[in-house]
Amino acid sequence: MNGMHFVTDAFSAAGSREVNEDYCGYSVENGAGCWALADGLGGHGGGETASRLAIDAIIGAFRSHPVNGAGVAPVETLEEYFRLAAQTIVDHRLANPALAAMRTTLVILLCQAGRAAWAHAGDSRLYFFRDGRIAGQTLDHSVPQKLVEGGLLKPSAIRFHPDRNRLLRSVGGDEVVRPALSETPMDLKPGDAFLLASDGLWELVREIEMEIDLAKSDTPAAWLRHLGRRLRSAEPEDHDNYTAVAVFVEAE
Amino acid sequence: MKIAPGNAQHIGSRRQQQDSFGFSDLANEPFLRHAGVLGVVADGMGGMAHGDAASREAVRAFLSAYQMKTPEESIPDALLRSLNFSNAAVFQMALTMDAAEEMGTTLVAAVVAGDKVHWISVGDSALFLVRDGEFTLCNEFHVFDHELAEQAERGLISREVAQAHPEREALTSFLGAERIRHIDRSLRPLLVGPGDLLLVASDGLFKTLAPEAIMAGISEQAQATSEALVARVIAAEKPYQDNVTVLSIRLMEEAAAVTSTAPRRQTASRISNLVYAMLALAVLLIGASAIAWWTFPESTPSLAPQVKKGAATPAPGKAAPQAEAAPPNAQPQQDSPEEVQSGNSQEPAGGDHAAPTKRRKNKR
Repeated sequence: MNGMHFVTDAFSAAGSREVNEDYCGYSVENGAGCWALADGLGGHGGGETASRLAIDAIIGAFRSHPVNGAGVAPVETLEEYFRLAAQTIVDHRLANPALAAMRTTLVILLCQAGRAAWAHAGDSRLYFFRDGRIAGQTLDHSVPQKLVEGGLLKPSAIRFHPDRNRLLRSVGGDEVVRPALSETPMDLKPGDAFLLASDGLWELVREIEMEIDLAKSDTPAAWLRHLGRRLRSAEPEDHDNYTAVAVFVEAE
Repeated sequence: MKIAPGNAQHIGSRRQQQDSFGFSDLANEPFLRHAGVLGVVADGMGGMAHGDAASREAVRAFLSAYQMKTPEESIPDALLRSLNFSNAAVFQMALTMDAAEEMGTTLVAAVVAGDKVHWISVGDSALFLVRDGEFTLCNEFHVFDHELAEQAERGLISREVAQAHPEREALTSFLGAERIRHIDRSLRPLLVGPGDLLLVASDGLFKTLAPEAIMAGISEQAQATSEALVARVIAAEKPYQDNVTVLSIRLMEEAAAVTSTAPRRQTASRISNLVYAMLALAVLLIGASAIAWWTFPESTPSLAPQVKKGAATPAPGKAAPQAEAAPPNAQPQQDSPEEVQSGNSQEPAGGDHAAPTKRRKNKR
């Protein structure tokens, strides 16, 4: 089904930190769209740089070749975007030895020809909402997620686990980047919604709260306003950077 | 999905019960199919005159408006229409009582239809979803606190000023004004499943009990849950304990529900008792008037109006939500349960609670 229309809103803030190492971007053209969110790692401004380089490279590539035709497999495009982001960071890293440690998490949503696919590396998440509940979500590349898979931890306990920041995958290192890809592209329906979120958001806002706030939101901006209020009322002493991108799928 | 409702209420250590609540008609099968089960709680504003009348009228009007829902009207539309009707009714009542600007109430309404939940809310009464041992607030309160927090966020005031503001609990939206300033409502359904529990409650519950204490009072049975939560609130012996009302709506598998809804004894509610008492009084008075007529036929005119008055009094009481809405498969309103009240040793001393009440729910 074609003729889909996307409405997007986003916020990104430093929380109680000095710098915001999160970054996000998106582009929607001719019924196709690309949304990306990154949470940078590495000192000396590296985190900030890595997330920005990754997002700018991806959104730039989407804009120069908007893949709105049915001919291109979205999974291949997503893999290509990950390679591009990694290469951009590696090139920058080699030219700037001070930033040698920089990496980033990355999550990308790609919608074209009425279908959606997504990919991620690290612990930035994508949630897919259908008929009022979460119908799909990414699984972190982190130590606590492995514990969940081994039956040693409840999924809801990830957000409190001391090792939750130990990532098993990221983008920009020397190793070949291996994004986790969503299964067969999802046929979209009006009413579907996506939320891309960095850990500063999902550690403080539970999935059921995302569903509740979605139920009362007529726009992505309203949804994010409700989520933002929950973040504020959580009031952690040390509040990590937090970023969210909300996408509503609507009939043209 | 099978739905089991429960309810309990207590006056706390206040002089007046300013909370009101009600359920839609749970016996009307055709209505249930498209309109679901509706539970409403309203908390009259303590600092304002007639808080009890405001909440009672708000619930009565809301229930009667929702009862007009047709299968064609969506649940969110029906809830919004009912809320507007309820607001107009309270505002009208204030005008006729010459208490305009002085009557107000919160209202929260939740509907469960199949596996879908909808709600609408004004003020600071709560709808909680309890799932897998987690406790989640569905509605956003309309309290000045939120506006202060936003101002602090934008750097207009300091966080400390925001958190110490004397009016942070004042309501920024309530029913009874010419127009409703803010409404929190679902536009799309929230999906629920067997095992989920909804709590519709006045702030007397969650301003006294922490989430963990509320979780500890929850059991499988809806009625037992409401009663246990109210008992825990009273047992906490909080000074100036506010009125507390807790509706529980437990969602169950259809099959599991068959066994748990074995016929239960219908306990007469306080209101029903009141109705019986009034009827008995009416019969007595009719009897007395008959005797009087028999003895002094000329005195009938003076006695007849008395009889009428006595018989008419239960009518508004009967129209009050508690009476007509008592769920058939749950014990109706457990108002001021004896064992709870005996545990509540604080007799409200004259006037000592007036000031905090006022401060608690000011208009803003």
